[in-house]
Amino acid sequence: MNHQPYREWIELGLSDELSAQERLQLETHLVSCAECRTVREEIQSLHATVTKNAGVEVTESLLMEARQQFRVALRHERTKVSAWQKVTEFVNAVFAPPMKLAAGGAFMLALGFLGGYMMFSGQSSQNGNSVTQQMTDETELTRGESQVANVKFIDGDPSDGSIEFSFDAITPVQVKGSPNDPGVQNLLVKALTNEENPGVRLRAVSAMTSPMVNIQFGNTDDQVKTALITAMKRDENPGVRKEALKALSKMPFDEDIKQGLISVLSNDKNEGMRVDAINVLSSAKGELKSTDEELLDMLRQKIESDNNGYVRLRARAVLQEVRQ
Amino acid sequence: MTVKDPDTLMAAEDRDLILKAQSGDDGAFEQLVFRYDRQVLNIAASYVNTAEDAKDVYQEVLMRVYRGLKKFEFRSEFSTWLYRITTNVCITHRSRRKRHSHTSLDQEMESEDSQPHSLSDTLPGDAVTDQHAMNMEITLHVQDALRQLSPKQKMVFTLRHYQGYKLKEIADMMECTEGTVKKYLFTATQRMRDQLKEVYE
Repeated sequence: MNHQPYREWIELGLSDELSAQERLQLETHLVSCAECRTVREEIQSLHATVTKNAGVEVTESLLMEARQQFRVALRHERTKVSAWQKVTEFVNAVFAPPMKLAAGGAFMLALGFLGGYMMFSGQSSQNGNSVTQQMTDETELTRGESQVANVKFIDGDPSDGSIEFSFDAITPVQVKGSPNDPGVQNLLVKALTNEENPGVRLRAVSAMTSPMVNIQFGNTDDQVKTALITAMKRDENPGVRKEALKALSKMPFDEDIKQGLISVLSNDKNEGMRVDAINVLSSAKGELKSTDEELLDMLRQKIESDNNGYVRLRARAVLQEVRQ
Repeated sequence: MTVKDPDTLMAAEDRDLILKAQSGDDGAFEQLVFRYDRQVLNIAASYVNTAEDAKDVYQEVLMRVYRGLKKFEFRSEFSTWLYRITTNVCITHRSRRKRHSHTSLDQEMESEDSQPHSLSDTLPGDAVTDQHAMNMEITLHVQDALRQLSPKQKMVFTLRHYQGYKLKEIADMMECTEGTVKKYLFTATQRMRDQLKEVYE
């Protein structure tokens, strides 16, 4: 007797993908076939074992960290794109007839200003609104005049002379509020993850960790911690990474911060960063567990191969303390 | 007054966001992908072995979406397109790892007669009494067994067992027929049964 179709039905039956007739035939067969019953039990056990032992759990914190890292990568991508645009614009400027270029530019600029004034004066941008909703009453918002940038022509109709174009209307918004305000924190996180200027990112970290912020008591939102961990691990500017690490060292030590520090110790080429990271781990030794194999492996690796003598020494000390 | 069902409404909102994102609205792009990115991370996490790898896959998927969105022509649902990219990136991600460990991908469907590892080969000799340690050991063994599958078998198996997708949905994601999905699934299940027999018995 060919049991193969029944074996396939057993598998499909697990996710309820059998027709009523197929299910009936399978059940009838199982009554009389001990071998297929065993197979079904095995597949059910396999399914239970596998689903109970999934490797990586997707937590809210992991998702937020993935999003922050993606934002950083996207910022680099946009920088690359705009650099390419600059090159193409330069080439066009060199090869286009100068008069045509000048007239076209002036026309676009005039249209942009006019359109921007008509459509956006007195209105705020959508993003501005979403941020405003999160601000508390104490936070002050002041809006400046809209500026028009990035004017692009989409289409033109020679028959009646009408044209279609797009542009970005940028309204500067001045915010004054407490760094504990979720809306302000949201802006600071955005600045830390999206701003191209490292000076701005550095200021964002400083603002997040000013003495007025309650991070040392663990009141800060997870998104701030996640943004700081991402900056500590991924920011291309060592100053920003160092400042983020310093900020995290003031927060209550937890698994996310420990993972971030392990990543810095394993991957950061800057010796100062590794020194700071091992110092923070050392000061949190009471929180470290002797069963944490990942941590122990990393420490052993550091003892053996880090090119900085201080890191090697501290790693040895931390390893000994954790084992005790 | 007509009441639209949630899926239609969602698709209409997606369309709106896609059009905005295609014209350079980065906020709309973020809003669009953050509707579905948890599932991207779920699929990645069930396929790879570490959180870092899952985040790498997630980032690669979303970057491909960012670069390719301008050419998206609404021939499928956005989510289908997104998950298709996710499965492709997962499979390629594993391929990269395999190349690093000097293992050929050509073994994909042909390696099904390879000898399964025994649990006793990999478990430590001393009896492990601690339940937590035992669970970790089982998890490692499950991951080891998954690693023995070909990339496509593993993708189908994880989509099915960890994410609960139906055959048709998996076929859509992997751009193949349901018959092919079944073939991958049955082979994968057979091999997993062989390798994990000592675990679940």
